Parts: sequence; C-alpha cells; structure tokens
Amino acid sequence: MEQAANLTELLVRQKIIAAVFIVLIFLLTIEFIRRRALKERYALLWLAASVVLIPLVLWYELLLKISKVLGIAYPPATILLTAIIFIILILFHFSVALSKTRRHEEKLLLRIVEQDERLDALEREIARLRGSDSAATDGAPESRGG
Amino acid sequence: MSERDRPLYIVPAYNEGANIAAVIADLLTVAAPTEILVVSDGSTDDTAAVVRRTPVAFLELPFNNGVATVLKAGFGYALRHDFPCAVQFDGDGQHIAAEAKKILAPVRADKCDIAVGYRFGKSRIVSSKARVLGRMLISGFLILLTRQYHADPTSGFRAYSRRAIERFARDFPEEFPEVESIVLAKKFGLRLRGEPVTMRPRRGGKSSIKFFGSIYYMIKVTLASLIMMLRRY
Repeated sequence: MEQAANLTELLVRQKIIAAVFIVLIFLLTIEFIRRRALKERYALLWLAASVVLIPLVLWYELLLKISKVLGIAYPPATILLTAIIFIILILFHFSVALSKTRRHEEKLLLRIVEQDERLDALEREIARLRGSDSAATDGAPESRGG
Repeated sequence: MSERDRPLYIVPAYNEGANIAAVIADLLTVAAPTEILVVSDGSTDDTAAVVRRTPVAFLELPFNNGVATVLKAGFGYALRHDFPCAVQFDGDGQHIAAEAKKILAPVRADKCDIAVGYRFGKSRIVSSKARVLGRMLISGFLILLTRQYHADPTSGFRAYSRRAIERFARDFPEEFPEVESIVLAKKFGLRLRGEPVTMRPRRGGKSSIKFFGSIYYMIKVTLASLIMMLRRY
C-alpha cells in the first residue's frame, strides 16, 4: 500500500498544473458572473466543482482516503471521477434548464399569438368605425374594413 | 342544429402553400369563414400570403414549433371565441370537409370528448409491411394502456368537445402528439372514440412519420407514452 501510494503520489508539477487549471476555471466563472455574461444559477455547479476538486488535487492524504473508501486503487482516478460526476450534473442541469426555457418560450409565443389576433381585430374594428364615420359624413356607401 | 353548436375548424399548416387554398375552399362548403382558423407553424413558404387572401381566421406562429403548440394556439382561440367544439383538420388536403360531420356527431351528442376519424374502406392507403406492423404494435400497446382499441391512433382528423379543448389548451403532448394525446386523454378522463371516415390519399406535403423507420418510431412512441403515464399534471 505504502509503495503503491508512493508510486502514484502526485508530482508537484502535476499538482501545480491541475491547481492552476482549476483556479482558472473558478476565476473565469466569477469573472463571467461579474460581467453578467453568466447567471449565478448556472454558475453554481461550476464553482462547486472547482471548490471540491482543489482539495482533492492539493491534499494527497484526503485523496488517498476517499479513494480507499471508494475502492479505487489508482487515486488520480478519483479526481477524474469527481470531475466526470460534476460534468454529468452540469449537463443534466442544462437539460432541465433548457426544458424550462422551452416551456416559457411556448407560453410567451401563445401569448404573442393571442395578442396579435386581438390587435388585428381591434385594427379592423377601428378601420370599420372610421369607414362608417366617413360614410356617414360623406354620404358614401358603408365600406367594410379589412 | 343551433348557431351555438357550430365548431371551430382548426387547420394546422406548415409550408402548405400548395394545398392550403384548396383545403380552405373545401372547408368553406361546410363552415362560415369565422369558423375556420388556419394556424401556420412558422411556415417559410407562401402559406401565410395564400391564407390572408381568403376570409378565414389566421394565426401565424413566429417560428416552427410542432403540432402541439399549433393546437394549443387553436384551442386557445376556440376558448376566447367561445366555440363549443372544435375539429382538427390537416392542412395537407387529405381530409374531406364533408366527412367532418361524422366525427362531430358523437361529440355533439356528448357520447365522447374526442372522436378520431380513421381511414375506412377504399381510402385506405397501401402501406409498407413495417408501417402496418408498427401501427399494429402501437394499437396493441394502446389497448394495454387505455383498454380501448384505436383503429388509427396517428390520425389527425379529430373532433374535440369543449371539455377536451379546455384541458388540451393547457397540456398537449409535444413529441408524438397524435398517439400520446390518446394516452393523455385517458389520463384526463376524456372519452375517446373512433369513427370511420373517407380520406384522400396524401398529396403535396409528406407525413413526418415517413422520415423515421416505422419501428424506430414505434419504440419512441411507446417510451414517450409510458413516460406520459408516469407524469404528473
């Protein structure tokens, strides 16, 4: 076990690369929220992923313990697994959000169609009234609006 | 028949510029212009222009959505204008206006909430074996789900009662509207019934079902219907 741990202990270089990458994702997410290019509700999982992955990368004892609990012989795989789980969660979250957007889109669309129709009817009615007005003053035959 | 018994004819049309004028002319033989509503599903051809030259009511969806949204728009219109029943009538010319009374009769007599017209006699089209098998399987599956035999669950020639209109204006299945709506009707406690009608062979536009393999279509319909049974409304 001891030997296996030594063999798979993350190199400092690997740690730095992974940590820098995760911190970049974290900062990028924050920056996008700040610029309002990303809504908080869609960013939470990205932030959570960064926050969970950082200790796993930097704190080898923790990674070992979790790997042991999960029965994963090769500890770096735990990091990969965690990342994959977050990716699945984020994707699922997107699917749900997309469905909700579609529902709202349809509702708005039906409302627009209804208002289009009402507007059309109103315009026809106004045209008809104007028509009959001028018909009354001009003595012209009543025209049907349209 | 009193004035208030008159249905709204809802005509879903997607790029039916070639057929829609004939369909409207056919409908005008049985209905007044105010009783005909064409709903264009974001057509990109001249459907809108053709319909606007006729006296019938017209709604245009700003982009393509599918039959479910079209029907919701139509049902909403029927409710706003206080129609007691509605007929769904395809814009591609395969349905015959004079046949509508056959599906309307049981709805008006309050024998059912939805009457589905199915092809009957000589108007039956020659289908591929896979299609026939697919339809048989869907029918069998629907018997299991609804304890009722449906001769042609994919038919889009239907009459709806006021109750059905009210319910379906809020929820109408999106993926496979024809088949799923039968399952949904059962779930909503709406009474369904099939009526034999004469139909023309398809002309102009193509059936959307043609694009999928029939069996693949059937599997998807089955899955969607099962999920529908589990859904909360």
